[in-house]
Amino acid sequence: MSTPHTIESGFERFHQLVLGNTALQEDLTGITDREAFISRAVELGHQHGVPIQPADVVAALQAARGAWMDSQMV
Amino acid sequence: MDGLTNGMNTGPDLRGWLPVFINRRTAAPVVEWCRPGTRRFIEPFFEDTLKAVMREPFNLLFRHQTPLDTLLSWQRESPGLEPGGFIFHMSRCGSTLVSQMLAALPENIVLSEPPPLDALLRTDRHGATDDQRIAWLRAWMSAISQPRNGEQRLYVKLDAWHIFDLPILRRAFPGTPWIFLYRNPVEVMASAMKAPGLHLIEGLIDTNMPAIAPPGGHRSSQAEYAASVLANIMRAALEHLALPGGRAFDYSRLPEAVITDIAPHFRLDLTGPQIEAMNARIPFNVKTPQLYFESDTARKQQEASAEVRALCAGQLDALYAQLRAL
Repeated sequence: MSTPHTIESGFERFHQLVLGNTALQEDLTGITDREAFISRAVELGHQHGVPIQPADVVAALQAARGAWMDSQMV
Repeated sequence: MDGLTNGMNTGPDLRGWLPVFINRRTAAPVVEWCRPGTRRFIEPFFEDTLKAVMREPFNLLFRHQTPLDTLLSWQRESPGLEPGGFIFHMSRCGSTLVSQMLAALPENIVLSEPPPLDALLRTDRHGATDDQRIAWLRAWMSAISQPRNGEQRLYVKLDAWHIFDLPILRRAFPGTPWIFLYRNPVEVMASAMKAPGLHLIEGLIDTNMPAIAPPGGHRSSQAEYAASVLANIMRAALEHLALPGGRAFDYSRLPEAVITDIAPHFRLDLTGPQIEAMNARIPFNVKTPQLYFESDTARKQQEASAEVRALCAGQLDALYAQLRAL
């Protein structure tokens, strides 16, 4: 069980930004629709001077999903 | 990239985060926190809720990782709820029904067989002292029970083998009442032979408890091993039930006893609408909600093999009689 270690480096600053910002966490928590989440993440990144592209979020989600699945293997 | 450095150095703001994983694969256990929002633990098992949480994009991408001792500082900063009741059981005896009825009330947090609790109990294998385990257990319980929807009470259904951990759990939570659920062993064994729980398969649980992993090693059959573990569980329950705080309930008394006896034992003063809400959980098979709940006593009795009946007669029936006599 671990947080995704293979997140694309372009996404890293945004990742750290969110982990340290409760308001951003509250904004993004509970968005269950993948496309809506990607759009909002891109929007928030730009608003906070950490520009990311939809492809960055997609890649990060794919990597995270893979890491999660691996962690579930006994 | 991960949240570990963030957690190690300055400590993250953990408001809204819950410690849902404890990774024991590392030398020093790491706590992993996710942010479930207002989602309640209403699925039959803690892990079911967690799987739903982990399907959310946010929780896939963002999780804090901290050392165990972060639990202690977070407990001091933001104390959660004290457990209002523990549910121990011998497996296949209605424990999920009880936990689901309690979870029907929105003011209750109900944790059903949460793996982090087991991970903390097992830290003794890696050298943790009882005092450390007690501190971590209390701190984890405090963190996981942070009210997110105005919840006021916390109940925990444990894994079947945790009856052997009852002494340390009682030391950690001396004021928490507890129950032990049991059932005619022929029916439990018949169910276990079809789909045995982890504790009934030799070697599947990482533990040094002699009652689960007997030093003598392998027995001649799966049924024999299961019977020996169930006998140990029932003996442990009988031993602890002699002390205050615990009560035992037979499967045959469910679900009615949840309202009439278990709730009062857990100091739950139920209103009419609350009883209605709890009873509304009964008509369904709690582990497979699309199926109607019904007692399967007759079917289980028919399914029991000659070996199962002989093992029950030799090892379990007398213990069952002792429990019923309490």
